[in-house]
Amino acid sequence: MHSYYNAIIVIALCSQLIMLGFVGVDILLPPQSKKGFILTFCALIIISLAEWTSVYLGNMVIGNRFWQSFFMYIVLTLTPAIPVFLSISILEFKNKWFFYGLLIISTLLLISSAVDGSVFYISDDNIFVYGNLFIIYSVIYTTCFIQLFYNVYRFSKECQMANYYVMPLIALLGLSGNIIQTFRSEVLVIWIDATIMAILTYIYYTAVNNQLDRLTRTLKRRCYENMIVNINYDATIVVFDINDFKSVNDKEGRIVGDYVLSTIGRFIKETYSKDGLSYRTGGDEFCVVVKKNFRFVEELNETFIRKIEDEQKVDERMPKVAIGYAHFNADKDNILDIVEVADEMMYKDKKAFKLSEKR
Amino acid sequence: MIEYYSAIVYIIIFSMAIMIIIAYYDEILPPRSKNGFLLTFSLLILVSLAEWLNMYLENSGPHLRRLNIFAVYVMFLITPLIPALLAYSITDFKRMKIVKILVGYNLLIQTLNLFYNFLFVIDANNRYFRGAFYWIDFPVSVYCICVLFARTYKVAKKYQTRNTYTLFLISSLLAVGISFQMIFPSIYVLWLSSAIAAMLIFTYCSAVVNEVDALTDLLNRNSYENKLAKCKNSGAILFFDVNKFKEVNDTYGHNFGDQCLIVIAKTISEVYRPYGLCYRVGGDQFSVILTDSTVNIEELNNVFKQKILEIIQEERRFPTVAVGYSIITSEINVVDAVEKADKMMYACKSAEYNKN
Repeated sequence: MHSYYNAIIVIALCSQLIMLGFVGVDILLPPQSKKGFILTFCALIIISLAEWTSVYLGNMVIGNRFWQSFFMYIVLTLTPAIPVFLSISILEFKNKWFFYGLLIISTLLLISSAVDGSVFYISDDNIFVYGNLFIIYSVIYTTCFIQLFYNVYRFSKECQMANYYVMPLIALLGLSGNIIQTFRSEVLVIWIDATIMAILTYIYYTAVNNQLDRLTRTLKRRCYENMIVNINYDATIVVFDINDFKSVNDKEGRIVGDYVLSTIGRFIKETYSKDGLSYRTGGDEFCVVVKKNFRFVEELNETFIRKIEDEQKVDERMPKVAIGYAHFNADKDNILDIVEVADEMMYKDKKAFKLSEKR
Repeated sequence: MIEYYSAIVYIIIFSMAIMIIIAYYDEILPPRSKNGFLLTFSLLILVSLAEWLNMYLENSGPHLRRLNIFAVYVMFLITPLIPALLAYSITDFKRMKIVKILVGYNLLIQTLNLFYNFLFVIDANNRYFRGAFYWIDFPVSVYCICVLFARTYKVAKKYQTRNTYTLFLISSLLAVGISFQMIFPSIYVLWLSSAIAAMLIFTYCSAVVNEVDALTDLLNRNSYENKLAKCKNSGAILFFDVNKFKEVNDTYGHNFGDQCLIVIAKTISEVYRPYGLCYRVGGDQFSVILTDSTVNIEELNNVFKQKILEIIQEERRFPTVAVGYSIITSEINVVDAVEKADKMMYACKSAEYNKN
């Protein structure tokens, strides 16, 4: 049993170190996430080492209770930090300071417990005894975990991935380590489990990040091309092209141009993301695939145009967007023809706009 | 012990299932890699289940003996497949045939063993014993693991991504798992370490796809911009532009054009790679960022031009390449250096055009 535990810790440490290297050299990761992941893996390394030392000391014939508890305190202090760090890695959230506060409270709680054993103490016959303040510690820990689940939910919703349910599954995997530990405290798998959870979070996060366009948070052109090859269900294809985007860029500068793009990307996602996927297919071109019928899409288009018009009232630099759409019947149509039909309609819209401009 | 072990198996299966979903929806990896990974993850689930079954049934009495034999049979069949599939997912390789033959041989002897018990025996008490010839399937696994390590080494050398050493670290993780299994046969951590290694190799491969240009295997534009942002006060930057590439493409076809790009990229890599990083920054534009500013750039450029001339002598249709460079110092910052190198490259280009 004990040698098995040693082996598991060695493997956990190896993988945590490798992940630190991985995250360290990842150039595509946003700084915030990078910080979060590095903190997570550093905390995991410290926890694994501390837990191992504590278990090792506990198994010695002449136990050293003081140091054994000391390392246990390190483990418990850092434990609630893991879900908080992971939350930071996947999504920015506003009440970050609240959670840092919680971490400080739990640390203070544990420090006070070192004096009077109010959270836990290790008795002379090597038994882990819960104190009466342990409940507060558990509440803090659970709150941190709930925040992680909440962030996971928001992230999944935002990133419009087909496999949005993966992140909740990963969090569930992390939770099951906790459950095992609660019911069978001698089965020490919680940290290898947490390590794997953190690795999976990193993998999923980078996979999602690599498929999203940085500026508009819509899917990249590469995903669009894959979709074109694989589409096998009835859908309405909507194409968008920003009118006179070049002149906005030239007149107002790149920064305003980027702002316009990201705003339009946001509007498109807000309007259509419930029923379809949105892609950025070119510099100022977008495309949405809606799994609904024509009538419904026309309504959505109107909502979208209204949104743009409302924005134009506030901000005059906002350009108009030309829209075209066509219905794709998976049984008889060729998707490329349908895209062309939608494109033609969009160009007509664009021409009409240019004519009205001239007048 | 069995409780502990079951918890680990549960974690392996859960995480591999998640990896299958992630890999299935990945749109960036080439299909070959993707399928390789999907198979690897599924087999890891199967093999850990089989091993668990074998552990669970140990000493359990005669009634489930057949199930136990089947579990061990499945386990031994899958073992060599995992490193082989991982190697296959990383890159294409020529020795695939040998691997296939060895896997076929393994299938044959494992199946024969079901009747003649020369590899392993499960006795009436459901205990596992080695047979008289238990070693004859060793070469299969050993060869597959060697192939995996050789592949990792090759890939790490081929791509200039900065995280080459992480591939070595991943292999060492696998090595840790294997050595535990060899030294302490009662500690079952081989599949745990393999599962984590497979996850990490998957991550590595998608990182490579994101940072490397698919046609030329040089680093892509994204990596170039990131590198440029980090450059400070030392080193040098070079620009390359293929002369009249559009004409080449239009006259001789896209295939020939692509071929030219590949050859030029290879030549750039041969000449400059020892001193810096090579990038494809546009359709027919390349760049090299030298970190070592003590090199004689003129000399390197001459070597490069000489090599291109040699190629042109053999293949008349091959285009020439314009080169420009600038060193980066505390006085000349990166932005100025880029501009300077660009200007020099264009001067070189127009000189070439005037000649004709």
